[in-house]
Amino acid sequence: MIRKLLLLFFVITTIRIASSCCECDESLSYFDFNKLTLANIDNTGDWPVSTASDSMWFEAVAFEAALFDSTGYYYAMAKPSHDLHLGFQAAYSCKCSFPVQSMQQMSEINIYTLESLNDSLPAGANVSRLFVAQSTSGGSNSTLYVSLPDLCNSSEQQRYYYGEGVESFRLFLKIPVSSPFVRFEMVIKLTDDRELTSQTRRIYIRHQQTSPL
Amino acid sequence: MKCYMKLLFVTVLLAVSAIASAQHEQFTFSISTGNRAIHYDSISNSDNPDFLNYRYHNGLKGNYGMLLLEFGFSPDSNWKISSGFGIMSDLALHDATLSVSRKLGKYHRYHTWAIAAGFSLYSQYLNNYHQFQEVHDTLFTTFANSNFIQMDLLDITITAGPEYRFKAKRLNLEQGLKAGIAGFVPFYLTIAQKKEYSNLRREYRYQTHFSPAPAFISTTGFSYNLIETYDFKLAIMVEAIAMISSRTLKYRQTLSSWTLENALITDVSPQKQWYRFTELHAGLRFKFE
Repeated sequence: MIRKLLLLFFVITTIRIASSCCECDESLSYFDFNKLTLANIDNTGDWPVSTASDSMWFEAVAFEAALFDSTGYYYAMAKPSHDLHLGFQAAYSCKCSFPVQSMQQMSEINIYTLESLNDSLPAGANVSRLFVAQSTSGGSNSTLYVSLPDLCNSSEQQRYYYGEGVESFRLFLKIPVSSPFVRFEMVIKLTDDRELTSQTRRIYIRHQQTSPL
Repeated sequence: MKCYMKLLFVTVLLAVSAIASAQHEQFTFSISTGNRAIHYDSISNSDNPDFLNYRYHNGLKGNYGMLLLEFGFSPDSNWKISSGFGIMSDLALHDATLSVSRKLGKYHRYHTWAIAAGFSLYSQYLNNYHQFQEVHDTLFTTFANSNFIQMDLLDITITAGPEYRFKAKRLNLEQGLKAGIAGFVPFYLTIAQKKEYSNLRREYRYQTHFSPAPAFISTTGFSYNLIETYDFKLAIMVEAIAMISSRTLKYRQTLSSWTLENALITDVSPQKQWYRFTELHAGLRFKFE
């Protein structure tokens, strides 16, 4: 009797293991970058951190740009998974990675100042060459920045996974700002010739450096 | 570097040829512990760091406890080959030695002369080498990879010279005097900096050079056979090694600000200083014939 019960448990357990296996559809879903957002960064410390504050130090003007599909990536999850249920409900869900890939990459980044930065850089001037960038995706052995053209060249058509489909990078102004406030407009040209534009909020510049408590 | 590799090759070749002509074989194994002290006449850093100033040291000396294992093989009464390795407190292999010697002249009951050639690799610690930037660049925060704030500085020596051996009953004495070259194995390291309240980031990248220097090594060995049978001997042994050399560690410094482009490259050659290495170890030697 006990042997039969053990055999029954063995069969049930085996079926449950089989039902927990699933085969994910790893085929790519494609999306378009259609939204660009800019957020402020506090770069006074060792590492840049996001901030809601609209004031920045005159040598530490920095932003984070995010490029993504504003419709979300839910279509990637619409693909059916191929679970083996064998009449049993799976004990847990089949976790698939749902890879997605953008249809285009960045080809050019232009940044314009909307306020006068100093006497030689009036409102409307293209200040792209005064910015350097740092990808947030890591993968670099260096802590240094890259130029904006290099950032575009390195933005290969990469595969993202569900919940990750955001191309983000940080922008850092190289020169000290002498004006009391700044504001920038960023225009990203994509490989399909579309342009995405976004503006920063008005940033108030702090010139007097005091020791942090 | 090719020259040193050739010397090493010749040493290995001599060892192999000696093994090939084996007649009356003798094997030895010794285990010993001791202390190694490395002294460097450190001077203040100038505009650029001298990495030798950041060797692990207490005062002017770096002291290391060592466990040494050595294997010896004599294919006949003329040749002697030995190789060994050393373990430091982290129980990792740090040292490697290989030496070949051949008796010279006619057989004498008590004393003989030999010519010996050897290769050795030993390590010491390089600590907190980013302190130079921390002290000099006060407006910057300095980052060094925390995994590499301490690293091994490897020193290779290739030497050759005469050896005098004295043997009386159970007592054996050996005195060697060798000359050759020593050089630090090149390493690469990066130190990153960020200016406070600023976006400015920069990186110092250092690529050191082999920096060969003449080196003189004196070795003194003493052993006394406690047990002697027809084909086995057990001896206590004491060995002292001293090396003196005038050393520097040359390097290329690459300073990049903001991006990797337009880096400022400087070749730095710190002033040579006297570098002294002494080691004393004692243990047991097992000899099988």
